[in-house]
Amino acid sequence: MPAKPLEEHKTEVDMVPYIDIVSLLLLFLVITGDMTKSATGVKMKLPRADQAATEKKLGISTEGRIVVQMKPKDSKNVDAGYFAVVENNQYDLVAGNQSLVNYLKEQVDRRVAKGLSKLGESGEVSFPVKLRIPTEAPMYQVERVVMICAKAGLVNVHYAADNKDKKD
Amino acid sequence: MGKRRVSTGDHGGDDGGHGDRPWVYFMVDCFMLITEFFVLSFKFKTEEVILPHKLPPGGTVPSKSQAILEKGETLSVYVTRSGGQAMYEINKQQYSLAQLSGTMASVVSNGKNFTVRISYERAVPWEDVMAVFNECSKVKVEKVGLVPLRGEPASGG
Repeated sequence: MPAKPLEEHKTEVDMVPYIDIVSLLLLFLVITGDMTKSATGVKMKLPRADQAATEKKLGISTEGRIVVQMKPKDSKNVDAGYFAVVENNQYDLVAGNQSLVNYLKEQVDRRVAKGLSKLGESGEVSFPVKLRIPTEAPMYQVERVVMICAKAGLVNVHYAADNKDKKD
Repeated sequence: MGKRRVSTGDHGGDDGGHGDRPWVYFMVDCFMLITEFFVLSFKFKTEEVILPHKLPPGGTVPSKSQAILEKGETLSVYVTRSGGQAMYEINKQQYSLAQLSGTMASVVSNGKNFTVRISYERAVPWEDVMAVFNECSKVKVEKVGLVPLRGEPASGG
C-alpha cells in the first residue's frame, strides 16, 4: 500500500480534556464563590471587635433574622445622611421613619404568624435583627436605626463586626 | 494531556481541523469568556462575624416598657472624643480604650445580672461605641442599650 503524502497528515488539538478541565474550574468557582448580594450587599468597613464570632461558633440561630444595613448617601461626607437598606428596599434614615417601622413590623408579624416567635410583653420578638453599620457612622445616625428596630420589637441585635486578626 | 489526532480527511481538508465543525471554536471562545468572568469576579464566601446583644427595657426600647426596670445593676458609660481619641466615662472617671477593659472587668462582677447603658456625644463614630459592646461581651454582659440623645424623638412615642 503506498504511503500517504506528508501534507495530508494534519494535527488538531483535542478539545475534550480541555473542556473537561474548564468545566471543573467553572464548577469550583461557582460553588465556592460568593455571588450573593442580599446579606452583605452594601460594601462597608465594619468596626473591629475581637469578641465577634460566626453564628455557628456562638451557637446562635439565625432563623427568621432580618438584616438592616446602613448605606451612606455620600461616602465622603458622613453627615450627608444614610439610607437604611432592608432586603431590597431602601429607606431614608430619618428619626422614627414610619414607613421603615411599618415595613419592619410587617416582617415581624409575618414571622410571628409562621410561629418563629411569640410577641413579648412590650411587643418584642425573639428572632434577631442583624445590623450592618459602617465604622465611621456618627452615633446620632446609628441610634436612629437602633431605635427603629426597637420600635418594631426587634431587641435581639446582632451587630456585624470584623475580627480579621483573630483566628476562629 | 491532549492527544494528537491524525486527521483522516473526513473533517475537512486544508483548513486545519474541525473543518465541518466551526461551532467548536465559537463554543470554546464562549467557554473562555465565561471562565474569565468567573476568575476575575471570584470572591471566596466568607462568613461575617457578629456580636450578639439584647436591648434592655428602657434605653432604646419603647418608652412604654421603661417601667419594667431591671432587677440587676446598671452601669452607665459615656463615650466622648478628645483629641481624636475615644474616651469613656464610668462613674465620673475618664478612661481610654486600653483602660476600659480592666475597668469593666473590675466593675462588673456578674455579667448576667448587669445592664450597660451607653450614652454618647452626637458625632462619636460607631466604632468607639462598638468597643464598649466588645468589652461587654468580654465580661459576659448581654443587655447593652443606647441612651438616645436629647432632641431625638423617643422610639416608643
